[in-house]
Amino acid sequence: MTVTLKMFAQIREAVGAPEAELALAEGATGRDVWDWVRSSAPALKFPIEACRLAVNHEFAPFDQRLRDGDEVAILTPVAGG
Amino acid sequence: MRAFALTDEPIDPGALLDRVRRPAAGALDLFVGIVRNHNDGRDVLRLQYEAYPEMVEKVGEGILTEAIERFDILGAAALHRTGTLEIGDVAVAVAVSAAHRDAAFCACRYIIDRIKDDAPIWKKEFYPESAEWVLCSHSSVHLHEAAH
Repeated sequence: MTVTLKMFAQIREAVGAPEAELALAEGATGRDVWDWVRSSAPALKFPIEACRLAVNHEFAPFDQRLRDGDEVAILTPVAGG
Repeated sequence: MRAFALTDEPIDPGALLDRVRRPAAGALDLFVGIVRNHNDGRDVLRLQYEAYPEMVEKVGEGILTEAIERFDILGAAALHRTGTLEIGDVAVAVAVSAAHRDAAFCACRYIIDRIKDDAPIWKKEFYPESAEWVLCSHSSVHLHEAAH
């Protein structure tokens, strides 16, 4: 299956792209997306506990199973306001 | 315009306040966050805000809906800037109307705090010699805990 990964801020800069299409095995979860980001941007300093997963524009736990066509994002600590 | 919106244009707080005026409202509360020239002892020259637009609007509308359910208020609206901002520019504005002031103050505080905690918006500070993405104190706690 394929999911669309949206990247922002530190992750966008570290990976060098705002978006990527990821081919994942059936049954993949947010942790597989996390692993892809970590291997694509090894210098990124954040532990998984400091980040949040979004699936289709909603917060979701990292162990959530993904479906073909999902839009996912790893959110580093936010700083709006 | 939606009750919660992003904009890359300068924010007019007065116009936002006018959007929550109601005949039954006896109190209008407005929070305006602006860009300051220092942070953590460093000179700040300007800021850049980056957002996840589709998700920000969903999260933001959810925060405003919760505020209306939780407090005795009549209207609520918020506007957040994206792009490059200079010192003194308005970064965010929150406007609330209520029959009485207590609910208006409480709801306004609740909304800006929730925006800071949950809205997928990131801030990059530009210093005289460098630039860095900012970690607010809340997220620093998470990083600290995660290191143990």
